[in-house]
Amino acid sequence: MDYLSAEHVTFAYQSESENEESLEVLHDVSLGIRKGEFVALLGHNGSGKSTFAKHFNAMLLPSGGKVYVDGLDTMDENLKLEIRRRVGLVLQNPDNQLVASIVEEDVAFGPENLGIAPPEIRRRVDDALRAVEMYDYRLNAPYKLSGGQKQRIAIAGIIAMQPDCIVLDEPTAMLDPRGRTEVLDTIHKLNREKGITIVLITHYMDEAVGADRVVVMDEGRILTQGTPREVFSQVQLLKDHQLSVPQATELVWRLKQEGYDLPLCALNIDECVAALEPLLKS
Amino acid sequence: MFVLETKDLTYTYGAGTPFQKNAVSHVSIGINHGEFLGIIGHTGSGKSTLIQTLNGLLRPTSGTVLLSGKNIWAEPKRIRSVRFQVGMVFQYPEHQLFEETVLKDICFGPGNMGLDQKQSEERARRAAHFVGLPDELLGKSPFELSGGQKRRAAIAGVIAMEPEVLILDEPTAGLDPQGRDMLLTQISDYRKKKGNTVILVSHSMEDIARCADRVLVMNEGKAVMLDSTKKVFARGRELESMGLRVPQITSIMLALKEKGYPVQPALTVDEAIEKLRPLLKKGKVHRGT
Amino acid sequence: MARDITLGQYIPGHSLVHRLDPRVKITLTLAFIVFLFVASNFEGLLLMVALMFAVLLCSGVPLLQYFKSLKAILFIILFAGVLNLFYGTGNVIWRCPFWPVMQITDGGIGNAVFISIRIVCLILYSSVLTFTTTPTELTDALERIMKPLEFLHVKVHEIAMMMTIALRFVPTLLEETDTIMNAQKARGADLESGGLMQRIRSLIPILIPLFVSSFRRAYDLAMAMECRCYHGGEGRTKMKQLCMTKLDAAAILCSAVFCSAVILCTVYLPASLR
Repeated sequence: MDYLSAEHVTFAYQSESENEESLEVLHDVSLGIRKGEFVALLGHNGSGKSTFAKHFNAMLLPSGGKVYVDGLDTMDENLKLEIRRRVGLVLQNPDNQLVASIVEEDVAFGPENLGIAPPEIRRRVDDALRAVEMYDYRLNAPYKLSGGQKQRIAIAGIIAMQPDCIVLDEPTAMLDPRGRTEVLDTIHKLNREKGITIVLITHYMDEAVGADRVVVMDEGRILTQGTPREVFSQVQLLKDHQLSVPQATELVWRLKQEGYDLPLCALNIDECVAALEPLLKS
Repeated sequence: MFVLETKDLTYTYGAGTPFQKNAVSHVSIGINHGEFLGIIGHTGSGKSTLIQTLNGLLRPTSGTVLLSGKNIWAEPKRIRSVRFQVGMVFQYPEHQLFEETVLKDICFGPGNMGLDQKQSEERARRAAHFVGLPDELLGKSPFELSGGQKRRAAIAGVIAMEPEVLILDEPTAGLDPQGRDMLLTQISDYRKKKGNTVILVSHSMEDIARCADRVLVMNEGKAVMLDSTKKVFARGRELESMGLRVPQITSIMLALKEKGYPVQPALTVDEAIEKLRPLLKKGKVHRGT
Repeated sequence: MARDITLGQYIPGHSLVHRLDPRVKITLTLAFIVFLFVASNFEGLLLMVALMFAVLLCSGVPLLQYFKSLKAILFIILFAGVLNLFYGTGNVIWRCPFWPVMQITDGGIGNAVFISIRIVCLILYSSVLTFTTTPTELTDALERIMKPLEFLHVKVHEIAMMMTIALRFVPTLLEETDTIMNAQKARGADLESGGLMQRIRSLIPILIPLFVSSFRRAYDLAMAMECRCYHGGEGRTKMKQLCMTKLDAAAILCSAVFCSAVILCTVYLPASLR
């Protein structure tokens, strides 16, 4: 059974004035995500990807259709806390999601809300900080850290609640390349080593390459999905929807269009080089 | 003559305290009139400090900044006039919008220059046109615009001062690929039409490769490279040692070259295809599995 | 650069005073301040001064630091001293030749000295608290000290949470103010010259973006807190439990002895203030 499942979800933001029609941003979206899976949710701004993702921890409730987390219905008010414990949400701006002025106290915030016994919180906080490799910074003030470090603290704050799944809403959009790498490495490690289900929302195509599955959204619908290779092979479809592909993918695809004998898809530099080598005269 | 020039420029934070740190040390560079200069360097390399000394927001601890040959700090009281000539767009500029309407907000700069309302509005409309803001948005409150529109309105607010040099600090941060593309095209067009100098600070090597004529590389407060974009990115391995990347396409060409193929460096996919075409065999090839 | 508000005036250390429970520190500081006013004669005051020196030496903070905090309010001390100089009774020592009501008496001099010492002690006692306790510890301790007020429907948890968030966001907002100021200066905003009205008007381009951004941050933060299962103070635990040690007991005992002595002085010896 799918760990996260969205069944025919529609969502409309309630309009402020009565005579205006409410704006529907999701139209009949269905998606299942298995336990332990790493899913990248791609799409440009306004594609509905962030709105969709907020349904997985009951921050938004569907206007139509159902969302289940491990079989729990997100519409059930009594299950809200349990759902949020199981599915953590990391937001874009690392500055705005840290609560306390000392790193370890911030990480403790979640478990404290859950009413966990103090010695257990201590243990979880230390574990979570080690998992994101920020243990040495536990007594620092968050605002003195780099963007990538702050975002890892935010992730640690979620880990400390021992969730099954983490949804990350464009966690790297405000970071420099170094911060982006730090955060991506961290979430891949959590997925690999702790088996945490990851839903990564991003508009960077290269971040999606490492996922188990890529789901592309456009105008509130799922445009296409599949393994990165399957999705990035559909360069024309992506281009038609103003989505770009990694440069390695684009180079191989365009040369193939010109009639060169090349594979359908190259995801990264190594694959691209390997694909071109047999064609090159040495 | 350079439009902007720094001579032995040093800026020290917290001078005289135990925490003093040279953010920029002994930088001597010249920026040509009308060129598109890219500045790269990782966070903390001193690039933000450097650009803030260029328009007089920070006063150098030692050394000078020359604008059209004149020391900008010769008359500290007139430093504001330097800021009109060297326009600076900060990161997330949409966070500085404050007026009732977009038009009024764009007029803030020209108004501060002492222009009357009519002249200011004329300039504001021109600037809005450059960044592709349609007229019907100018009467709206800036807070009603979408994220990308806000950003463009804020950039127009600096362009409206019609500065000789336009400095943009990470103008595409947080935009999606579509928005990023559009903004970069508009900035390039602006430069072409006005013939003004543009300085672009960016973490995105793809953006720099696409737009810049020359690239300045900052590392640990020092200017370590200043050369044509192609020459700088050809030193990809050196850049990597400073924690910087090169565009993926440049890496691919570099990797092929290192394997012994006679491949020329390239900065964009278009260019790479041009360079590769004469080298590639047509027809079926045998591939090992 | 923005002052490090998370540390406030905190000076890191592991001295006896640093290791005291913050609740005990707050309570004792308040007690000392009360007893500074209970002491009505030089004998009692001397006891409080002696206690103060003991505490200062135990705090491990360089005495120069304390001196600096006094320097900041030197004017207030002098003002209070001089004022009291003329408000006393007793043998007249000097009388103003032009305005005979203004006179200095030996009682006045006594008062001036007494009041000045009192203010100095007051400042130094509170400095010990802020030098040896982080703002976070203070917030935490205050939440627990005020806990009984919940019976009076005071929202103690909410107040403490607000203090925590304020501490967390002040440096962020200071930095943001700096950025906005620079950005508006880059558009030619003139923040330095002009009359009062002009200057107030020139703040608008800074204040509005600052408000807008604070609201955006507040919205994000509220969402992030909800995502982390925040649902008020009910059923909430704390990672860091404050616990009192023998050290705290010793500190309370010593303080009690001194304070009792001050009471004895006040009751059995004549008052010095005239």
